Amino acid sequence: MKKQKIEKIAIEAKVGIFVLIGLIALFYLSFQLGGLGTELKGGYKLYSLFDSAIGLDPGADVDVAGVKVGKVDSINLEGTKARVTMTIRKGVKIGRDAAAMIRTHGLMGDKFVSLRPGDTRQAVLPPGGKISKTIPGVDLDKLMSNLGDVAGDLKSVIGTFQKAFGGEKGAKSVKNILTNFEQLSANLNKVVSDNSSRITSIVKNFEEFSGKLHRIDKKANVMLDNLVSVSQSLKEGKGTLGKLIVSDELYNKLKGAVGSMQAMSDKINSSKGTLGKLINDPALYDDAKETLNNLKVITAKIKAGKGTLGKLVNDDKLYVEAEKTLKKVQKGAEGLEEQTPIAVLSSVFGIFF
Amino acid sequence: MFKLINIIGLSITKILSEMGRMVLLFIETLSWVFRPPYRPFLIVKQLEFVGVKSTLVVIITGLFTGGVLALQTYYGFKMFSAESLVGATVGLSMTRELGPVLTGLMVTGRAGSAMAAEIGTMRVTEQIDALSVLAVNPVEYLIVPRVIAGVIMLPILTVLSDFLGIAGGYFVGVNLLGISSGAYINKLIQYVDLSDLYNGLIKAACFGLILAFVGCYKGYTTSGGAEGVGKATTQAVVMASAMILVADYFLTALMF
Repeated sequence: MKKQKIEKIAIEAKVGIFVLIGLIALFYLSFQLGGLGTELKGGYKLYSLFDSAIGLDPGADVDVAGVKVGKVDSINLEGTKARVTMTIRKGVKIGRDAAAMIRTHGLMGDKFVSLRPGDTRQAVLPPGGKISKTIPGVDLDKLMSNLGDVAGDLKSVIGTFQKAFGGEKGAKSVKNILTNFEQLSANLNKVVSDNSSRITSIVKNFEEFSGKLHRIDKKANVMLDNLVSVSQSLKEGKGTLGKLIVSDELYNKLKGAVGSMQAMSDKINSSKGTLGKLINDPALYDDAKETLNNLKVITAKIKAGKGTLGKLVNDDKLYVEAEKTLKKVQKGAEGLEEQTPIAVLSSVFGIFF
Repeated sequence: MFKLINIIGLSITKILSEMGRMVLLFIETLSWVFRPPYRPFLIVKQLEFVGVKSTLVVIITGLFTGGVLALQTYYGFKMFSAESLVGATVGLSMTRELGPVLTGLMVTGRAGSAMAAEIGTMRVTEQIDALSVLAVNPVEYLIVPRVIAGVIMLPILTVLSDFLGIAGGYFVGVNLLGISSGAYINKLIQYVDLSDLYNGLIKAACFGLILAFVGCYKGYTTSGGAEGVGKATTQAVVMASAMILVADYFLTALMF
């Protein structure tokens, strides 16, 4: 009886230990696998309206900056949009200007919701709030259909090519083209290799040219600068030219001068003053003409040796006699040298008068 | 010709009558589960036999199954460089499928066969009749504790198997194949849900029921001396294993 009891306890203990180990394993696995589930219990809900929640499943991750912060609770249709409700872990703040985006782990991986929390220093979304900004993710189906379109286009292009180059004729012409190209490139090669030194010099010249151009450009720049400064000072009215352009003083003076000139010419015109009369009065002209005519007559008379003056001019008799007289006078003067100057003077006077 | 039809008819009636007997015995067993007298000592003894003594087998199968899963899936995933999913694969297959099924099969081989042999011997040596004479219902005394033990112990053994399978996969994947430990654990946690684990345990309980009941039934209906006992044992293992696999399909279809 006693032995049986000990055995009983031993068996019960064994079973008890076994069950305990099993339960510990169960709890451990449950806790580990439950993971975020228990953490999310105190969390709050947010929702967002997506144009398409394709591929997203309830239970999908919600992350901020790659860190898992919650799970997708449910996906429903609201109007024509997908309303994705998610539970966010307590303590994770999502700003009012947050944006939600459906993304994919890798190329074929699960879809998940990625949140950009926005500015959390100001307004933070309350529980049940709406993340209004959604960024459409890359839709693999759309991408595939686009790729399909591209492939179709490519196919038609290739078809055209095939039409153009297909068949024996096309192949032949392509072959011809290729041989022509080959020859052309060979020729080109030859030209280049034959003229390599020239080409080098051309390039060098070009280099120099561009260098010069560069320098010219610099000078032009300086010139332009000068021009700018000149125009600046012109504008500011510095220097004569500047004043000429800017100040109207000179203009006014000029205007005055022109005005007085006009007045003068008006006066002249209207025969006022000497000059006016000179210009406008014909009497003086007539007098002058007459005088000139008289002068003409006089000179003609003189030329013809008429009258005293004419004779004086035309007849050299007087000149010869005068010379003779002068010679005599010289002789007489030499003779009179020793006589008193008064006597000389009086005798000279006596000769002349 | 008439003989052939006779044989076909006979075998079908045999199968149907056996199924009927099974169902009747099952109903009787169920009815005794909730009716006194309860026999805690007998239950504990069966718990020890079914559970504790199967631990070593389950540890070995669990560890090596997890290890070989990691090894095989690693080479598969490596082809498109998704080695980090090895942990998730090991965790999912162990909790949902391999843990319950392999534990069920191993326990069938170890405990189910023993039940059939034990009860069969008792039947052949007329001990069961003696029990009846002692006014002890043999179903209540022999079958109910074994079925209860099977239903209770199989989930616990399965948890051990899951845990050790994941551990074995971790060892092979991280220590031998060089997958990052964080990737193994995190992907496992990410992809394996609590429901996967619990559904696997429900399956395991069903398998425990099947293996214990089939073992007991085959033993209970033994006839034909020592040869009959051997036959009953073999049949019990084959039938229980087959039923576990069939039930696995339907349970999986039902739950996941």
